[in-house]
Amino acid sequence: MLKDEYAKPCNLNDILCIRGLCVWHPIRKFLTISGYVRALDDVNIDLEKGRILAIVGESGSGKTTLGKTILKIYQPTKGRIIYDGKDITHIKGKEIKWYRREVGYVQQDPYGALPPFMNIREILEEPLIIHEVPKSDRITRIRETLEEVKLIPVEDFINKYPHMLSGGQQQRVVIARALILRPKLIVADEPVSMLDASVRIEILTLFRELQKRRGLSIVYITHDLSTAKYFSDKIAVMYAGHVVEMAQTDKVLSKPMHPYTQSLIKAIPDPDPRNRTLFREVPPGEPPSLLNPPPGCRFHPRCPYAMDVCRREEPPIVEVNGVHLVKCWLYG
Amino acid sequence: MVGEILSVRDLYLYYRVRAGLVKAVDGVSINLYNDESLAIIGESGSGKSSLARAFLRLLPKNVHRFEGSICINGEDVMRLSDEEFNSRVRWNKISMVPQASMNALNPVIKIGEQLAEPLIIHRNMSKSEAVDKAKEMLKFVGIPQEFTDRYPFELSGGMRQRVVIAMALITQPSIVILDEPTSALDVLTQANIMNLLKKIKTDRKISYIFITHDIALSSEISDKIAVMYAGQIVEYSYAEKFYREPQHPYSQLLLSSVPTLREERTVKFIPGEPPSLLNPPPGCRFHPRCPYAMDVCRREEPPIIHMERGSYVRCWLYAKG
Repeated sequence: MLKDEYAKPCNLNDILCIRGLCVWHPIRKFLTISGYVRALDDVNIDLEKGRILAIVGESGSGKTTLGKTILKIYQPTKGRIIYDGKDITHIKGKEIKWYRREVGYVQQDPYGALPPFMNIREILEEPLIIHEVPKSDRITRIRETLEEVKLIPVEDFINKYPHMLSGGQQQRVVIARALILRPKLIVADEPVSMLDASVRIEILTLFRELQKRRGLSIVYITHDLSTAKYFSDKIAVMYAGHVVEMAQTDKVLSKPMHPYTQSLIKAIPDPDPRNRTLFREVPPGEPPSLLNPPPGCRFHPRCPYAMDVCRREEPPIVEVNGVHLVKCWLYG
Repeated sequence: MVGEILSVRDLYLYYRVRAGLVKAVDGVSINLYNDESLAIIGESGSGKSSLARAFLRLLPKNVHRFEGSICINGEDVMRLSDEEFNSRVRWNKISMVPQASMNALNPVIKIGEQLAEPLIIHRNMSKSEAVDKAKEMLKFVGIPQEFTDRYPFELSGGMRQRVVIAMALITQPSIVILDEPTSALDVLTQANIMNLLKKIKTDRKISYIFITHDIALSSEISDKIAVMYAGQIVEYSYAEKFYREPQHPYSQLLLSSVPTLREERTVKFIPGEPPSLLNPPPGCRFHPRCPYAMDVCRREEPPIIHMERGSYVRCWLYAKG
């Protein structure tokens, strides 16, 4: 097996470096474990400081699990997570609390992420209380952060309850809550999928500004390659628990190497009246079950280029031109 | 007019709520010829789903005002009684794939039997006859025969969506309304469903009314476009023209907020929020967000400016004199 062969050492300047990460959820029947759902299998990620990484994949590809594992909500089964030069895979207690200050989380659904019975000030104060910010500093912090996410004038919002705000404004509150402890890294899990087109761009533009102004690093989890094009520096494409391709955004989009990425790009329409007469090439079938993934390459049952070796052995991670990582036998 | 399958004139649909009147559909006029498909695009809360429900007369109890004319194949269906509408129009001439309906299939009835239901209700068929028809229909939308006897939970999301599309087609209506038919699906499944819809359109000569907030997706199956803003259609245009030269400032901004994969251009967002349908701003409803707003826009409602081949725009910028 060629597993674990991708052992490129971590760059100490990276904010996030993940090597060989596996998250397997056990399936329990009575007292025994009857199998595992392999949500993540041998995932490798590098993210430089001050950059935005888009993790793109379909539902069930493991992108949310990856986000939650980075946040230490899930414990990895195998592998290492290096945050800012420090191995955080097995940290506990006080160190977890420190890590929670360093990494912020923006949830998918703003309508469900905010407690309805707390007003905006109370929602934003909560993390400050937990992390023992002195009372005198709290209100200035809250004001600054609200200004930063452009909920201005602050007076109009600070005493409102979530239901009084529009979807876009609620999502800004969620972002403010993620920012208030001044993290260095933000994990944003589908932050705009519930919002209208124009509001999406508004929120993503805000992320870009925060990245530039604060030097924030962002992991942007999405199923939408077209927003990833505008709002990321680097893209990692996931399929059935594997990262199948990772490179700079323009490289992935202009020269996609993995057959899955290629079909994903072909499937996305641009607004163009000619689309009406056009049939899109779509690979047949559905993503595999993670309980019992196909042997070899997990994409082989749907892949137009599948060879014999793809059915037998898991493909290696290949570095093409030094910067483009792809997990495919076509390049191995 | 000959070949006109749908003609809607001055349609109003208001709801009464405790805070006042919600003007969900406020004076909408559209027309559609045979084999043409219309995409209705707009932000959430612009009234596009209400418009679809008005076509099928699937209305909630708190309707305050529902008037105007809806002609299907030249017959004004607004004059029909509820019973007549149900027996002659609903599902016979016009049917619908409601939003998120793939998750609303009855979990304890086999899909073949669920699919046969419209035929039993609207076509008075016997059950065995209807189930046979349903099998044929499933094959047509690309679901293997053996799935007829399965339950909805045994099917993937894409397959369930195919089932609800089959359900809208089984009585062979001439118009099918698709309300966000792919919004819960993955990119590849979405492309698959769009391919299916295009195939059905050419095979069966059906007109779609496709409701979506995804502007890129709307170009997949639309010959005509209606842009809705705060309960009104602000631009009604042909696809060839609309995606290249949108006329209304709102349409222009909406198109410039679409991220494109192949084209290089910057994306912008529209500042501000869409207005409340309870109390829309005076004059043009878009004026608080419009970069070209003039004095007259704040005072008076803009007229409908007719352009070539029945397209129109509701904007003072195009008023002459």
